[in-house]
Parts: sequence; structure tokens; C-alpha cells
Amino acid sequence: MKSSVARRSMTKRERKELREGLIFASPWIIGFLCFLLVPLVYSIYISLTNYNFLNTPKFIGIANYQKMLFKDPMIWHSLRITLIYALVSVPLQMIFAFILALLLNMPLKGVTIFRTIFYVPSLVVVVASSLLWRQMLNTDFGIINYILSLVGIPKVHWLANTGSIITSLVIIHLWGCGRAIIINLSGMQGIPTQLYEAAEIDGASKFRQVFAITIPMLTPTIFLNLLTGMIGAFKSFAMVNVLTQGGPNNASKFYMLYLFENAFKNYRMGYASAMSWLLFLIVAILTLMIFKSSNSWVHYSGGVDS
Amino acid sequence: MTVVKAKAEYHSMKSQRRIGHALAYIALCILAIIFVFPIFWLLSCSLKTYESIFMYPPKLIQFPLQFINYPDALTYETFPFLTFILNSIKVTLVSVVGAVLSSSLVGYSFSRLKWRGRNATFMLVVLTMIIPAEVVITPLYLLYNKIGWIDTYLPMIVPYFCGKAFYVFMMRQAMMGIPIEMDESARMDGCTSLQTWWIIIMPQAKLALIAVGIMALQDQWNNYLEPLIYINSQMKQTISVGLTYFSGSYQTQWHLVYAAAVLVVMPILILFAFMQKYFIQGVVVSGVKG
Repeated sequence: MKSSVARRSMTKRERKELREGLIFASPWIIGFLCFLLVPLVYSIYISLTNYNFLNTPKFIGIANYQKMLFKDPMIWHSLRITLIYALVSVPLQMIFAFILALLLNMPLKGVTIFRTIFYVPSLVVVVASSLLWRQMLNTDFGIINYILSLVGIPKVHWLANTGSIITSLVIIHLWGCGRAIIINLSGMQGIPTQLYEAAEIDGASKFRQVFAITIPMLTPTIFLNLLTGMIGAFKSFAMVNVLTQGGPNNASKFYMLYLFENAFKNYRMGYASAMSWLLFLIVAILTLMIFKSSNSWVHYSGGVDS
Repeated sequence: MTVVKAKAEYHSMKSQRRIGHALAYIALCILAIIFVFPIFWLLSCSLKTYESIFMYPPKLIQFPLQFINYPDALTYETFPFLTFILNSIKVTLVSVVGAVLSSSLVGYSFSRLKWRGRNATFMLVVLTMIIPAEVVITPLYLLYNKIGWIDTYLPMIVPYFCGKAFYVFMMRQAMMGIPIEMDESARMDGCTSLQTWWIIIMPQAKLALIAVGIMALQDQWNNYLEPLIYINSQMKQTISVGLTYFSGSYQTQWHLVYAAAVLVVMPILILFAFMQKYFIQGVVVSGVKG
């Protein structure tokens, strides 16, 4: 009795606060419902139909999923190359961006100019940079093969097969790693200098300090880069589509390209929705794995900032 | 004796450091040249004639410089490039306004207002940041088709007015850092939440607002998948997809494609030159531990 009175008297204020809070948060809540939750639920339904945009959707059970998992080799092909790309490009970019950030964190004269230089490529509009690289990587008249020929390396067919296309994409990706560099750099600048001073007194070399201090202290940043990098790699679309359009002969048909093709070229909406759910599942599992593993390697120092 | 030894050690340490710095410089210089080269090449190609782009061996710079490529690209007959640019500017500006307004409102709710379930809801915001938007493109397309949004800019713009999760996250982090006494005294003076948000919080969160604005600008200017899917009429197309029209046609005028590409890249680079701090700010906040 007493508690219910107390609750009611609290609810009045609370209710007002709740109403106000919800009103201010309503743009996001509406967006969440309209642009994420409803489409997600709707896509479950579509994925169970044979909807092709012209017919009325007919319920076909899990046929799309069965076909996807057991009868469509292109799914596995596209998943495989996407996974290979992710496994190669993400760690490489993380290491590269880390080393560059280390260099850019040194007390060198003019270091801010270098920081700008390495950041600028990440500002280039993706389609423009893809068009540019497409020409630079051209086998016959591209500048890259020309430079390689100066040091005696024969012509490379950059955009000819899966391996070379992934290599090209990784190179372009490294070129545009400015964001990752700056994220690392800001993480490094948050490391208390006393740690390095103490290590200096103990006689630890610069090299050892990197492994004993910088990397452990930077693990939260590394963790974030890993997570966003992985998800980003699985969503790769614009660059590949402009660079090769999935070709030649599906050699670079990344998962998103195949999904796009099914949905918006062949209008197999049901099948494309099933593919979306597979993508969702894979990303969720990867995220979960990275999160689970983070307990053992991500080091949160208490109190520095939160 | 020991003093001499210590001195020698100090000197060797100093010279070691100097060698280290020299090596770092050399590495940075080489890498900087590699990083700058593609951008230089883009500029150089945009100032070449059609024939000299395909010359082998390629020339670093071809004189005379063809500045005419730029007006030519803008007035190219087959593809209305100027229209693409204007469309993009329109869509981007509206999106920036939407992103700044909505994310600051929502961020205000998650940082300054106290309501039941707030933190749980915020966890949901963080969670949705991990879900790739690409997962829902198919159902969204069908839904937009039902309500007649296809071939309009609404599918690209409206989500920006609904507080994209990442921008909300950024705003909330920034607003958490504003001293709570400021809104308490505003409340004391009888301000409503809305007034407090507008009068007290918005000016204080200026840095974050600009950073969110710049990120929204970059995101929308770069947007490729959405206009590709949702926009059918050529006259409504934005530049990212428009650029690929240019390069995908039967006889591609590559010198004009590069001039056009430079025109697309330039606004962002110029903005960066003036607002470096805010660009970096956005990235730094995004690096905050989750």
C-alpha cells in the first residue's frame, strides 16, 4: 500500500521526465523503428517468399535459405573472397596505420604536415579514387606498371583475377587509411607520459617500450579498429563495383555485389533478403567473437577517461 | 670515471636518438611521396588531352595544361555533370542540417535528461552502430516503393533527420562533458528543456556540432549505394553515381572524367584546409572507447 503510493507519487514526476526524454529522443526512436526494426522484420517475411517485384509474394518456406546454403556456389565464392579480403586487408591496415601513427607521434619537426599528407587520401570521394586507381592500375598504359617496369618488373595484370584484384584493393585501402592513423594517434596521445619516463629510467629501449607500453595501452583503440574494419570489409561495395563491377568472370564478385545483383538487377527480393540475413548472421558472429576475445587482450586502464 | 662513462652513455643515447629521427624522416618522406602521388596524378590527368592520357610511357605532366577540361566537363552534353553536382550539394546540405539538429536533440536526451530506461535505450543505440545498414536495403527498397519514395531524395535524406546512431553517440559523448551546473542554473531561471537545449547546450557543444556536420557532409557526399538504388532519372542523379556514368559510357572521355573527379574531390579538400581541427575531432571522438 505504502509503496504503491510512493510509486504513484514518483510516477507523476517520472512520467513527465519519461515523456520529455522520449520526445527529445524521438527522432532516433522513429528512425530506429522505421529504418531498421520494421525493415528487419519485413525482410524475414520476404526472405520466406519468392517475391520478384512483379508477382504477388508467395510463401515458399525456407526454400531461399536452402538454395542459398546448398545449391548456389556463387554464395560461397562471394563469401570466400570477401572473407579473404577481410582477413588480409584488416590486419594489414591495422599494422600499417599503427606504424605510421608511431612515426607521426614522434617529436619531429614538421610532423603536422606529414599528418595532413597521410590523412588527405581518406578524404577523396570513393568513386573518384576508384576511377583514378582503375587507370593507374591499367595493364598497358597504367603508371604503376610503368614504374615497376623501370625496376625490371614485368607487366602485372592488376585487375585480372581474384588474387590480384584483392591485392589491388588492399593497396588502395592502405592508401586511404588516414582515419585509422588519426584514431591510433589520438589513442597514443592519451597514454600518460609517466609510463614512458619510468620505462626510460629502467633502461627499456624505444623498441621495447612500444611492446610493453604503447600496444597494451592502445588495445581499446585496436579493438575498435578491428571491429569497424571487419564490418567495413564485409560491406565493401562502392570501390569494387567501380573498379571491376565484380568481373572479370565473377573474379571479384564480393558478397555485397552479389546481393545487389540479386536484389536490383534480377529482382529476386526474397533471395536477396535471405542473403541479407546471412550477412547479418556472419557479422553478428564475428562481432561476438571479437567481443568475447577482447576480455583476454583488451586492457582498459581504470580512470584515464571513460 | 663514472661521470665520464655516464657522459659517454648520454652522448651515445643522444646520437642514437638522432639516427632514429633521421630514419623516421626518411621513412616518412618516402611514404609521403607515395601517398601524395595518386592525388598529383589525378590533377595531372585532369589537365591532359585525351590522347596523352593513354600515352606510354606516361608523362608526369603534359604541357600545355588543358584547363579547358574543367569547363568542358561541366558542360558535357551526354551527361549533365553540373546538374549532378547541384543535386549533390542540395542533398548534402539538407542532410547536414538534419544530422546536426536530430543528433543534438537525441544526444541531449541521452546525456542531460533523466528518464527511466534511458541507459538501456542508449545501449540499443550503440548496438545498432554495429548492424550494417546494408542488411536492410532490400526490404527498405520495397517499403519505399510502396510509399512512393523511389526516385526521390527522401530515402537518402530522411534518415539523417532521424539521428543516425553514430552521430547520436558522438553528440552524447560531447554533451556529457558540459558541466551540469550550467543547465541547473538555466532551470533555476525557469528555462524549459527545449530552451536549455537551445540556449545552453547548443553553444557549448559547438565543436561536436561542427564535427557531426562535417561527418554527415562527407558521408552524404560520398554516398554511392543509395543513389544507385533509389534514383532512376538521370537528371536527379548525384555526383558519385554521375561520375560512373561518365566513365562507363561507350567512348569515355577520360580527360573529362578526371577533371570532373577533381571537381568532386575539391570541395572536401578545401573544407578540410579550413576546418582541419573539426575533421580530426570527429575521428578522435569515434576512437573513444565504446
